[in-house]
Amino acid sequence: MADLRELQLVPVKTRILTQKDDIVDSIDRYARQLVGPDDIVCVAESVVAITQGRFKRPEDMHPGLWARVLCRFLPREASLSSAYGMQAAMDEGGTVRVVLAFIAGAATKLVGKSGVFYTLAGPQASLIDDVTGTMPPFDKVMVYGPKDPDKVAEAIKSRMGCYGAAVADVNDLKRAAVLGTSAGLDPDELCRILIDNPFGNDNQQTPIVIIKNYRAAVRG
Amino acid sequence: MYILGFLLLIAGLAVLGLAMVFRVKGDADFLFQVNDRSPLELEESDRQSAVILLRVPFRNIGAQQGTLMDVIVRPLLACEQFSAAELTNAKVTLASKPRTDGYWEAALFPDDKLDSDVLIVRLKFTALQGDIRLAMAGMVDLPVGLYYQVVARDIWYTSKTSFVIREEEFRRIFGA
Repeated sequence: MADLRELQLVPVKTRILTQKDDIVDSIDRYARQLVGPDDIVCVAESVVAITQGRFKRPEDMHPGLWARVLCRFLPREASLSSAYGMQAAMDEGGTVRVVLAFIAGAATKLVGKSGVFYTLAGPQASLIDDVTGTMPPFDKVMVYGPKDPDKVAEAIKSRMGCYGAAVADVNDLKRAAVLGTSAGLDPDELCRILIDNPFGNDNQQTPIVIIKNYRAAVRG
Repeated sequence: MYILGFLLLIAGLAVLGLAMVFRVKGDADFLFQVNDRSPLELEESDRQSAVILLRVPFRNIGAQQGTLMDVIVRPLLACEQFSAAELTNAKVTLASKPRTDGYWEAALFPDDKLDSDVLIVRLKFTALQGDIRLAMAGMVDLPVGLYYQVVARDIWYTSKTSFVIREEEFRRIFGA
């Protein structure tokens, strides 16, 4: 386990990254001077997804009947509470899978167990950001979760020559999830390190965070 | 035959039941209180152009939260009626999160918390000749449309509301 006192978290500001950018190239451009061999490079999952082109306008989607019905039964604050969010989950996980997950989730909710729907609906279901979930110019689109986050992390590590890399989903509500890492990293430990959201809010445009001196902290 | 009829009956009742549930649950519904808009203000002016401003309160009076994906202000000033000045810019922004770039940032309005806000509408007039104040002395009633796009629980839609800025309001702020 790393001694957190030895770690320094360095957020890195970038311009708005789009589907025309490559995330590894972008990290190289903005963080090359700041990253060393003992560091871990973390990148926000929504930005990775955007650079992969994994977003859609509601105007380009056509929610089916299942999406329009099932979304009504989710809490209003859930990303899948709109027909578009639910359809996005079905597009990624399959309609049958999501419907069955819904039935199972509803049944287990009756006996007091929550979260079953998201567990069974597929890994992307809990990663979909509804409209307004991302800063302009992506405030009007559904942003999906990134594809192959482990591979992305490995590519970052390889390019930057750092100790490791991770793709993380962190917010200001003390919730952190690590979606992918390069080999040898502990996602739970990274969650603890990133729990205070060093990525900041959207307007700060700091989708990259460098965990400095991680190797030394682990050996310490 | 009876079994098929029974199954059809069950299916029909289920559809009816769902429809009733959704009707009760409702959806977002944005009400733009154009009748309660603020008086016209002269925000800035130089010799050739002037920017006027007004505020339109609105609320989500529906039973579900909804997102205002876009709001567009569309003033309708026909040169056949008034040609001393041109309406060269029209912008709308949110009072709670104002922007100056004319971009409408999609905004979520829950029905139980931040369910109301105010639109700030800015219209810029540019005199075709001479002083803007003199040009605006003959300004006529100006119909203004507000087009908006909503994404809520169901399929997105656009709608429109409108109001009229009376010529007396222009005369009052331009000192005519």
